[in-house]
Amino acid sequence: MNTRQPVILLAEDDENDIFFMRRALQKADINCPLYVTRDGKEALDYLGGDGPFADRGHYPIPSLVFLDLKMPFLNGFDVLEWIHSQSSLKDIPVVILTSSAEDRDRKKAAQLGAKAYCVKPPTHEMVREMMRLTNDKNVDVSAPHCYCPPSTQ
Amino acid sequence: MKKLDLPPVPVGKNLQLSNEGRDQPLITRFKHLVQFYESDEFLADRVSEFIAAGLEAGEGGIVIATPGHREAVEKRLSEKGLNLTALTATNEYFSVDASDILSQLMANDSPDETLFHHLVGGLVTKAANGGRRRVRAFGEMVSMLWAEGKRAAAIQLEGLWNGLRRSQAFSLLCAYPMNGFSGARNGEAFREICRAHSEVLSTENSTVSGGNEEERFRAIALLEQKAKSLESEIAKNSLIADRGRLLAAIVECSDDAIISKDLNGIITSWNNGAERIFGYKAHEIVGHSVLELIPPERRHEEPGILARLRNGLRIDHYETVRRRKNGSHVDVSLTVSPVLDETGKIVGASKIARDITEHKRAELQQQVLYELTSSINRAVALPEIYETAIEAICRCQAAQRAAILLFDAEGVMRFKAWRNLSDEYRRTVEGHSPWKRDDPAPQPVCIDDVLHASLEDHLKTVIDREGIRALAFLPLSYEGRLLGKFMIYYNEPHHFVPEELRPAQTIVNQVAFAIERRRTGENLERMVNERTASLREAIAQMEEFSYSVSHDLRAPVRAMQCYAEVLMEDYGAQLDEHAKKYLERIIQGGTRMDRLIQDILTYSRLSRREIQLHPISLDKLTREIVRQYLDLSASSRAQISVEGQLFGVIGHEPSLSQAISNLLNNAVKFVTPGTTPNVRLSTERRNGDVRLWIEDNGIGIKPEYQHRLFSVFERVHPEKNYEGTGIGLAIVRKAAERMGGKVGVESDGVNGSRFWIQLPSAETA
Repeated sequence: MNTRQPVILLAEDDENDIFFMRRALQKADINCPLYVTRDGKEALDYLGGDGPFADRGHYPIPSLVFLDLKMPFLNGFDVLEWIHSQSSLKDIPVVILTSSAEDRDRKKAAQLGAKAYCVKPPTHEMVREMMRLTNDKNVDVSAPHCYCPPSTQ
Repeated sequence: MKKLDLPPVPVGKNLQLSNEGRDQPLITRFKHLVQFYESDEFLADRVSEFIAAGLEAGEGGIVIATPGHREAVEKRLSEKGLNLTALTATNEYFSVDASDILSQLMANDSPDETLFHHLVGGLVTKAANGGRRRVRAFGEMVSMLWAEGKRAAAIQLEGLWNGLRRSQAFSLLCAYPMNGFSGARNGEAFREICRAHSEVLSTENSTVSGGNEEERFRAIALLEQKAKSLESEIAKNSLIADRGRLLAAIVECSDDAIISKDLNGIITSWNNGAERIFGYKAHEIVGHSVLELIPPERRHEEPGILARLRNGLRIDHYETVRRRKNGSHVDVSLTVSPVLDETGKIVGASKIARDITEHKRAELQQQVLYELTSSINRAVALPEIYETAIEAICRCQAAQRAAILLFDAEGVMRFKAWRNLSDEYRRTVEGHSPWKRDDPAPQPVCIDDVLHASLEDHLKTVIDREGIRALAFLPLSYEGRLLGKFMIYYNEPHHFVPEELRPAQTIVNQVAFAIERRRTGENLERMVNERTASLREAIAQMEEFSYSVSHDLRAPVRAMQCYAEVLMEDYGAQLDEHAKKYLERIIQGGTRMDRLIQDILTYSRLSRREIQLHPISLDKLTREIVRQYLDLSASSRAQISVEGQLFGVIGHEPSLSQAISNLLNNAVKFVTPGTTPNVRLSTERRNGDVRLWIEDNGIGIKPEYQHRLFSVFERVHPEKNYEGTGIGLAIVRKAAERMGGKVGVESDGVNGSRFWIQLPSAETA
C-alpha cells in the first residue's frame, strides 16, 4: 500500500471522548496522525474520498478505524456495514468504541465484522493493544477482541 | 206322575225370585215359569202337562220348540185325547219350529223387538182369540240362544217375552237343560234368567212329590241340597266369569298390543292395543301369519322365538322393530310366553308388544343432546358445532332438512350451516326473517302445510319447488338478543305440536350459548392481544430507555471521572493535599455513579430478557466463577471452598452466573475488618429442587432486616463501611425468580450469613 506511517480514523461526536482518545494515544506513545469525523455521514465521506476528503494526500485511507455507535445521521453499525460492502475498504480493521456494555451491541458488532469491541473510556493499554491489529490482518473475525475496563465486570 | 200345580220350589234366597212379582203385578195371574231339566223325556212330560191343562180348560196353547220336542209333546197331548188338528184349525193350538222363528227375528246377533212382537205377539193374539181366551205358551228360543253361547241375546229375548206379557195376558213356560250349567258358565246370567221368571221349577231329580211324610221330607232335603250345590256352583262360576271378564277388559283396554298365536305363528287373537299399534283390525289379521308384522330383514328372528316357545321358555322385553299395516316401522319391546292347555301341552303363545317408539326417540334425543353438549364443551370450532347441531335436530325431529342462519354484520340472516337445501333455495330465502331484529321475545313460527299457508306467492313457489311441505322457524336468541334462527323442514305436511319442538329448542339454546361463548372468548382474546401488544410496546420503550441510559447517561459521568483523573495526573504535583483529596472524591463519586448505572442496567436486562431454561452443571459453573474471582482479586486473602460435587439444576446460565457472582462478592465483602473471609459453597436436595448454600463468616444480617435485603436500593449496612449499590441482591432475587427459583438468607446477625438460591433439580426434570 503506501509507505507512509499508518493513519487512524476516529468517528466520534463527543468532544470529551475525542480528547480522551488523543490522550490515550499520546500516553501510549503512538505518534501516527489521528483523523476525526464528527458523525457517521462524515465518516462515510472520508472513507469514500467524497467531497472535501477527495484529496487522499490530505486524507489518506486509514490503517485502523475507531467507530462510536451513537452518532448523528448514521450510527456506527451503519458505517461498519458500509465499510464491509466496499471491496477497497473491507480489509481495514474496525474497532467499536462505545459506552455500551450491552450484549446485543457486542453481538451485532461481531456479526457485522468488527475486529474488536471496546468500552469507553479509551486507555493507553487499550489503544496499544488495538494498534497491533494494523500489523496483523489475520485476526480471527468470529471472536473479536474485546477490551473492557475491569469496572464493567 | 208329576203334578203341574206343584208349588214352585225356592231355589235359594240369593236368587230373589220374588222381585219381578212386585214390579209386575199382572204376572201374578199369568205366570212366567222356568223349568230346568235333565232329560228330554221329563221336559216333554212337563210341557205337555202344562199345555194340556190349558187346552182342557178351554185356553189357547202355543209350543215354540225344537222339532224333537214338538213331536214328543204332541205325542203326549194326543195320548191325553186332545185333537190337535181340530184345535189347530180353531186357532186354539199352535206348534212352531223354534229355530225357524229365531232365524226370522234375529238381527245382528240380537232379537229385534218389532219382529218379535210381529211374529210371537201375533201368535199369542190369535191363540187368545182377541183376548177372549187365556193362553199358555212354551218357548225354547231363549234356551237355544243360551246353548249357542249368545247369553246376552238370551237375556234380551227373555226381556222381550216379559214385555209382551205386559200387553197380552198369557202364561209362559221356559225350559233350560241343566247340563247347560256345568263347567265354566256365567252365574250372573243364570241368576238373571231366574230373575226374569216369576217361578223356577226344579229338575226332575229334585221333584217333591207325594208319598209319606218321611219321603217328602227326604226329597225336599235332597232338593235343598241340590239347590245349594247349584248355588255354590253358580257363585264359583260367577267368580271365574268375573275374573274372565276383568281379564278380557284388561286385555281390551291395554295400550300394549296383546296377541295370541299358535305354534305355527298364526295369529289367533288381537286386541285394541294391537289394532292401535299395528293398524290392522282383528278380522284383517287373525288367521294370518305373524310374519306379516315383521319387516323382511327381521324375519329370521321368528324361528328362534318359536323354538324358545316350544321349549316352554319365555322371551322378556326383547327390543326389536315391527311393521305396521301401512309399511312403516315401529320400535317395540316384546314379551312372549307359551300358552298351555289343561293338560300342560304348549299350544301357542301370548305376545305382548309395547310401542317404545317414544322411548327410543327420547333415548336418541338424549344421546344427540349429549353429543352436542360435549362438542360445545370441547370448544370445537363453531362450524363443527353447527354441523353437530344440524345432525342433532334432524335426528331428534325426524326431519329431512335443517338449517342455521345468523345475522351478519349488516343485520341480514345468512345461512351458516344446512342440510339438503339447494343453492337456489338458499339464495332466494336468505335474509327472510319472521321476526324483527330487536324482537325481545321472538316465538317459534310453524307452517304445517306450505300449500295452505298464507305466504307470499314467490316464497311459496320456491319452497314448493324445493319439495318442502312443512317448516318451522325457531328463534336463536341469547339473553333477549336475537342472533339468528334455526330451520326445520319436512317433505310432507307436518302437524307441529309445541311439545315436539322442545328438544329442538334445547339444541337451539345450546348453539346460542356456544356462539355467545365463542364471541365472549374472541372478545377476551382480542383484549388480551391488545394488552399484550401495549405491554410489548412498554417493554420495547423500556429497552430503548435503558439502551440510551447505557450509551448517553454514562458519557457525562465518564467525562467527569476522566477529567478528574487527567487533572490528577497532569497537575497533581501543583495541588496541595486538600485539592488532591477532593479530586479523589470526584473520581470515587464518578466510579460509584457508573457502577450504579451498570447495576440498574443489569437488573432491568434481567427483568426483561427472554430466558430459556436448560439443565446446568452447577458444580462446573460454580468452580469456574470461584476460579475467576480468585484470579481477578489476587490480592484478596479470601478462603473459598466448594464442598463435594454440587448437584445439577435447571436454569439460565448467564442469569445464574450473575446471581452466584453477586452472592460470592457479598460473602467476601461483608467481613469485620481484619478478618479473613471464609466462604463455603455446597448443595442439598429439597423436594425435587436443589439449594445452593453460600455460607460466610461475615458480619451477618439481623433477622429484622432480612426481609428488606433483596429489594432494589436497600442497604442494611452503612455505605461508609461497605461500598455497594444496593442492587446486587435484588439482581440475585430477580435472576432466581426468572428461573422459577427462590432465594433466602439465614443469619443471627452475628455469626456470618447463610445465603441460598434454590432451583429445580436437573435430575428430576
